[in-house]
Amino acid sequence: MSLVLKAFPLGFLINRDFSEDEIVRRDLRFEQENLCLIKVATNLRLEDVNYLMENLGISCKYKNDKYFLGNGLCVQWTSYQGYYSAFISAIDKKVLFGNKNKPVINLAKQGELLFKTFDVILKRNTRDVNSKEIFYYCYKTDFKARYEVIESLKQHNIENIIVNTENEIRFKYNNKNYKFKRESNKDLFYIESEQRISLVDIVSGGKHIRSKAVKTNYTNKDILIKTLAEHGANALQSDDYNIYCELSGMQFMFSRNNTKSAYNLEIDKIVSEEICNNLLKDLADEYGLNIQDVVYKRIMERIQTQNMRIENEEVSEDNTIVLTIDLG
Amino acid sequence: MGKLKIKLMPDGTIEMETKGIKGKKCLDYAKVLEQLADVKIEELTKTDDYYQSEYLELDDSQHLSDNG
Repeated sequence: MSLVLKAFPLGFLINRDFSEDEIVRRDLRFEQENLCLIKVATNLRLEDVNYLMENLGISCKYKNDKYFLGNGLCVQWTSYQGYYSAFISAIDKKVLFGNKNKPVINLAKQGELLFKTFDVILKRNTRDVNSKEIFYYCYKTDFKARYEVIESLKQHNIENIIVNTENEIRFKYNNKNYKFKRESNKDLFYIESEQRISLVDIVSGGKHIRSKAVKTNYTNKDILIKTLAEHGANALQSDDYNIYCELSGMQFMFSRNNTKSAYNLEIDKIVSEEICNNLLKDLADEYGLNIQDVVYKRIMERIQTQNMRIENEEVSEDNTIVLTIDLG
Repeated sequence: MGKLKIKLMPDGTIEMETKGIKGKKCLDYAKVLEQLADVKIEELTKTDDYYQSEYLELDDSQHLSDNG
């Protein structure tokens, strides 16, 4: 599932000094510095929220209705008609923007990752609303007064501006809904930008695919374990004929009848067919490269002991290594 | 003497070709590859070289003395 957003709000909606400049709109630092909150509508009920926060697998402190996570995110849940929305922000400004001692966190990226983790834990898409999901990115702006906002919008030929209250202005631009909002105790407005993203997986053909069996060409146990570890496999266990691990929340069981044959693979608790297939392809690619590396080193080592020499060595564009050996 | 051209593919498979080795002798080098890379040969394709006889090139003096 991809939630990478292509649509940042236009620069002028955030800062009056910015023009409608592509560079400003697409500038990651600009987006990162101004994005202050992500509001996500979910299909989660209270018991789901409690279960998720208890099983996140990262440190999590609960204080004043907010969860403070070990990855630098702060999550607050609010309910509407029984379903919960998540308000995701950074714990503090320093964590968000970084200083000498702390890394910069990209709120959008971490927010995506958090929801991917939720999906994996609950084994379903936690955000779906009739195959579309709606969530909001909230950016801080430099607008102090309502008339400044309205003036700026009119300058950019935006019509149908609806002023709800002193502190809330709604409008539509490029078919997207926006809302300027200001907390009563704050000086500056922030802007909520509606994001609509189509879902592409989790449910495939209307059916949840939970498990599947795959024949592999993996015969080398050590290289297979190395490849799995490189892909972040958890709970890795093995004996002569079997390898068990967890990858991206799914259970992988490799088995074979003798130590020379290729492994058969059974995958259980599949989170998404697409994620699973991509992972299988990555594993196959990485396993091949690891085999290539081992064989290359072995040939180079053994050739020293024979009456042979490498006459030429080339690496082609597709990463094939070509060795020409003079037999002496 | 001949040469071996070994291709290590990114998918982990290996291809080998012999160069300048005529006749059935080229098959012996499949074993060389097995020993060098510790692999099992799954497929062998015979090229034109396999069907050619190995011959010795003699210089003029050898040729004359042979003819005695």
